[in-house]
Amino acid sequence: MVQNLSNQWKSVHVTSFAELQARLKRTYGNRDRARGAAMTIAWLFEEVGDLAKAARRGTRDEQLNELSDVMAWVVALANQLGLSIDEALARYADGCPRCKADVCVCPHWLSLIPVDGTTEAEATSSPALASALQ
Amino acid sequence: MVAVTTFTQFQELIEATYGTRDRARGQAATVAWLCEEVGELAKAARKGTREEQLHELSDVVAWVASLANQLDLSIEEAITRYANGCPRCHLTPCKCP
Repeated sequence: MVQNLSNQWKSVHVTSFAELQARLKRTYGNRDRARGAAMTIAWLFEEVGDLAKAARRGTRDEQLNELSDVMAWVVALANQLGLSIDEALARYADGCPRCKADVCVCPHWLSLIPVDGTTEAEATSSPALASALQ
Repeated sequence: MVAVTTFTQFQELIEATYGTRDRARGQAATVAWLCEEVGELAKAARKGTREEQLHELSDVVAWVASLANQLDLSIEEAITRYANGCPRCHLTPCKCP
């Protein structure tokens, strides 16, 4: 325990996605390869569920804990697929990838969860929805 | 040339692009979208092209960042748990049973 605490005091600060990918490759690279992508996806979903629960009723520490687990499993999957997160995130570097605006102005229906099979045309022409979105 | 992205830079970028509407939509909707995007990433991992995988990976990370923003959490702070090896066994590489 004393050893663990002293390690934390000397902890390296990871600030970028590239650093995290390299760090987790050292920590889990062998296990990731042995586990396979399907198992990593199963774990990722489990952790997203834990984060959803913590978001609703967890403490700040629990939320941080689950957020780190989700990030770690996303990175594990990226590493297994040989993908660079930096390369992926270039999609978002110049604003919204759909409407291309710095502050997203996509039609509101894109931001809603369709629950009744509403189409884009129906959603944008519905007065009730329009007023609900005001 | 791909720029090195820090967690903070990306959270700020997502806040600027989507912060207002993500907050208006609320956490539950964000969690639902995150799950949908993880599903799309799962599909791309199994049978997508590299471009499709990169696309879905970016969407998942973007929704994680949006949720973190709404919860007022720093990804950088969260990830210190993993900065020094496995958070459970504290080793690199991990030797957890």
